[in-house]
Amino acid sequence: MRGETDHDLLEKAKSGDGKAFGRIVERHTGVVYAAVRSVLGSRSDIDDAVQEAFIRIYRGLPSFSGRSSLSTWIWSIARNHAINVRAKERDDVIPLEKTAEIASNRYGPEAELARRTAAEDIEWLLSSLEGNYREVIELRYLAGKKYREIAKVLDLPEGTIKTLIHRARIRMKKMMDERDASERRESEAINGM
Amino acid sequence: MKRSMECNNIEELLPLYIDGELSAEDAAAVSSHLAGCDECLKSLETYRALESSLSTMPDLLPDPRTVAANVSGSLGLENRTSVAAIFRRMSLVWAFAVTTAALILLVSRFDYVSALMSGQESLIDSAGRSMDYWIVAASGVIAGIFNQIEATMSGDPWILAMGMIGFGLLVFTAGTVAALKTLR
Repeated sequence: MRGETDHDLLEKAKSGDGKAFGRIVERHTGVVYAAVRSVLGSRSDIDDAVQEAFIRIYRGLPSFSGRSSLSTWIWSIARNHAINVRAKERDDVIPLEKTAEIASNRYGPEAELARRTAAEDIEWLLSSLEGNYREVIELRYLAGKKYREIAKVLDLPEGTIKTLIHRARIRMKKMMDERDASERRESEAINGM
Repeated sequence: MKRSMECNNIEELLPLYIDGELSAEDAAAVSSHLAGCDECLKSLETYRALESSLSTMPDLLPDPRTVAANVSGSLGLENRTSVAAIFRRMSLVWAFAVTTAALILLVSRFDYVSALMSGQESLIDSAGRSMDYWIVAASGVIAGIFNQIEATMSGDPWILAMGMIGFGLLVFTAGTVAALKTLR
């Protein structure tokens, strides 16, 4: 239903309304993906981590007191879940064939190849970012959030968000410059042979 | 050296220049510099390429409705509606029903009062029986109809089932009471 605030949906979901929780999931899918990707990066089993994060969010609803905004609370649960997944994987490494199989089943081999190429390119760019820099870029470009909304999710001043995004773009541009320079050197070396 | 420093300053401004977030004065200064500097023009193109790559990021997101369906499926929430929500809907239905019943009671009272005032026993008895019948039967049926309309509009199978049970019980009670009164 349009026009429903997070608070309305939260109250309904807390009283056991499954459809209201479904609308919370729809509304915050971008934020949860951004949180999980900020920690785990781009990988084929990201959907599973996101689904688990939402299950944690659902189970945590009774304990949400409303001191922060719903999006901030959802962000912190999703991020903490991703950190736990990463910590667990240090002991329990998933074989590469397994992740490739999961991805191939979900998207089909050709679509998965195109998706992976684009995803790898973006992941390469984002690999130059850490912490808050990656978070703001994921929220800005993946989740499509405005500066004001990102400030609300991360509980930071809007000016700080603008600065972080600006610096993140400068870092990524530097990565692109270095790649271009490297390719140019390789090309010159080949031509000089 | 002077030129290099100016290029560094311009480079810092390029992301804001692309976003259109510079003041008119700064934007004009950047445009003027770009017209005479190939290095900075190249930087501008790189920033545009970066922006173009990042703008494809939403393609990495699945449809939020699919995510919601998967999460709801895992938690078994697909058709779960809260008891509080059902009561909220039901209270609307019952508000209509009670108002209608009160109106019927008011109308039937006039009939009964006028019979009482006439002092004729057979008229009083008949009006009393008629009043009981109308109050119970009509209010029950009207409440049931409102209930059924609301339940159908909600599209929720659980509310619909509850509405049908409620409607059946009301008609049954109204019919039984009316029959008893008539046979008495």
